[in-house]
Amino acid sequence: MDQETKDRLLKKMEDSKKVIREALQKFPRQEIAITWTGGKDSTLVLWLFRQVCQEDGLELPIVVSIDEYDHFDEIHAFIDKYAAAWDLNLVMAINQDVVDAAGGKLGAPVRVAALNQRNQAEVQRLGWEEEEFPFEAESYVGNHLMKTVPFNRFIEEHGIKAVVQGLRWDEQAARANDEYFSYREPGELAPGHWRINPILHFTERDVWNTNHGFGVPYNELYAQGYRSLGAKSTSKKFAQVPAWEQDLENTGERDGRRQDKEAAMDKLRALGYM
Amino acid sequence: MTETDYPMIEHGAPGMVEFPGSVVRLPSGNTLIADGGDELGLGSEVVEVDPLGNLVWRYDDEGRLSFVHSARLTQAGNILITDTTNDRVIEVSRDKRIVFTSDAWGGGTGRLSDGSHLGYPNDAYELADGSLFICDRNTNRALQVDRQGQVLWQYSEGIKHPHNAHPLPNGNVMISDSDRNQILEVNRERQVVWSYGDGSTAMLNWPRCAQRLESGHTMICDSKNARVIEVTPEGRLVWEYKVDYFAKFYDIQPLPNGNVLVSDQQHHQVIEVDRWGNYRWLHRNFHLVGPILPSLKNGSFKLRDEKTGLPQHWNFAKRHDEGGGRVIWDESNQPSPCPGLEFDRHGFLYLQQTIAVKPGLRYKLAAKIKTEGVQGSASFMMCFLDKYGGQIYDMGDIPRGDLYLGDNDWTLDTAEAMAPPSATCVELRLYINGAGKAWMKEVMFHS
Repeated sequence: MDQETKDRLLKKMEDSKKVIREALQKFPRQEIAITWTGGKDSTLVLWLFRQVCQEDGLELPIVVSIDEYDHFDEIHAFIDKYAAAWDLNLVMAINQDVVDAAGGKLGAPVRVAALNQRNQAEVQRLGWEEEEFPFEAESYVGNHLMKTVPFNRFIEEHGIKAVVQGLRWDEQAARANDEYFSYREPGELAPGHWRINPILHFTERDVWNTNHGFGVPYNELYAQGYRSLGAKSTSKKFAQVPAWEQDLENTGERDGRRQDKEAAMDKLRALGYM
Repeated sequence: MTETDYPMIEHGAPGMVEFPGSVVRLPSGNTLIADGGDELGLGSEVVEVDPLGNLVWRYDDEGRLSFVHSARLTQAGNILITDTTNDRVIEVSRDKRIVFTSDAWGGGTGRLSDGSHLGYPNDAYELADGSLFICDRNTNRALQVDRQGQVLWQYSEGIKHPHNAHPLPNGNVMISDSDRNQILEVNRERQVVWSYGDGSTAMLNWPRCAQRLESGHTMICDSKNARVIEVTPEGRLVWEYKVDYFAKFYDIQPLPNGNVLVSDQQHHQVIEVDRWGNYRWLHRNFHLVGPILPSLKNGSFKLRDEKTGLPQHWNFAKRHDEGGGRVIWDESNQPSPCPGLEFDRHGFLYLQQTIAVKPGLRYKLAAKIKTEGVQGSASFMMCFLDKYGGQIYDMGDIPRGDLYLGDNDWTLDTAEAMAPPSATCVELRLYINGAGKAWMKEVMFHS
């Protein structure tokens, strides 16, 4: 890495640390939680947060990882490895009631009546009117129950007021105006809390350069060609070359559709449809 | 929270002004308002109200008028009306007889002398010699015709979706070239002799009316910038009336007392404001009709109203249908049939329901969508409304899911948006514009 790139990244890392220190000033450590998916972005945030805590002689806040069941074994192995190496206070949050109702089988139908009261209330809140839904990441109901619900339950049970995440401005156009600190008003069954995103200003390329230049660990799946990691069944390899060798600047990190929307909107405006 | 209904008034109630177009202060002091009707396509009419807002005259051709944009006085004291979606201009006497209709042109075909037909006309004036000056939006022209449909003059040089074209006392013609964000004054040789607007939305955003004042200044209704401005012949801005909501003002009439009469489509009212922005007169008798649901209902579409063919709790919004479109059902869908929209032209349609929201809360919409041959686009939308029933965002800025073009098999789509500070409810919509078919199922909406 050339010196100019290195200096630029150091500056970006310092800016992220400023956000983290501001968070630590604003909230008691016990009310902060760091979300960690095992993906490259949240791992970088966790790595930076650990550095700040080490530099300032503080204890690292609680770390939460949502287990959506449909996961890569490699991700769990990665999480286990660094949870031990970094001595993390890690909570694995899972909606076991849904897993049980599906008999632990991905794709199996989940009968709403077989769920506990809280999960039934969630299904009703979404407006789902069928008697069952499939236990898969592509089902909105399944996704909500396996990701949003355990997340909300975690922050409720632990009295969390601030959640640290690894979103970035360049992920999609809709993120372009996100702020480092944003408040989520309480909703039905969803507690109010702050969201803190210290690496908003990192591009996908910055993340890889930082990982390689400063020794931030990342999952081996990226080396196999995965660009972003979510549920196992919905994550696809982009190419047979490592993520950082792909055309990051000209292709979409997720599925590309969101970016296309902006272009489509412009086209429709030009045609007089908007 | 309980379902909040407003049962005293029905959609399209006679006399209720839902979507004011042209506004004219009559010599009597009364005000003539062209009303485009509500979003379901009902209640388009022409009304005259006295200074206290009492209805003194109304006309809707027994429910046949469709998305009327303008109503102006003729020399005979009749009312000249652009019946926009019906592609016609009619003149109606005070005793409600149609004394002239463009449908009679071309031996009853409605064709002009050049073989064309009016296409979505949005303004018409009678000139001193009895001929008509018509602004014909979808054919992108301003034209003068005699009463037999003989085209006497027209201007179509590059203008796009014009509004409110009318002749000035000097013989020139003032045109709001709306889609190109400019105002043009052209002479009879079709030369542009004056213009305002550089095409940027900062200067003018979809202007739909411009009036030359006695001072030589020009007053412009800058619709999507939610303002009325006055500019000098040199283009210097000397006065502005701007509001802090997405008003989409349509028409203006500068009054002899220095005030200006303005139609405010989004807040469903006509206002007379003075130079300092005070409301000196207001007419608003609009009510949000129909239930505002506490949460989504019938997102599975298991309930169908057999009489209307619509899914229960959903409305078919077709004010902008330009005369086409219908609700369709995919009867073969399992476990229950699901509804969709079929369309074949330039405008747009929605299937929607209205749900109460709390400002500041983030809302998520998730649903499956399928499309066939969509030219234009289909999408889900969360159209937030304020307490006056005014749309908070412009069409292009409404929070929405992905845009679907062409053919798409069932796809799960999601959208997320925070209810803005002034939001009180949201219209959850399946939207289509241009031609094609779009179906939806498994709709969910929650905070």
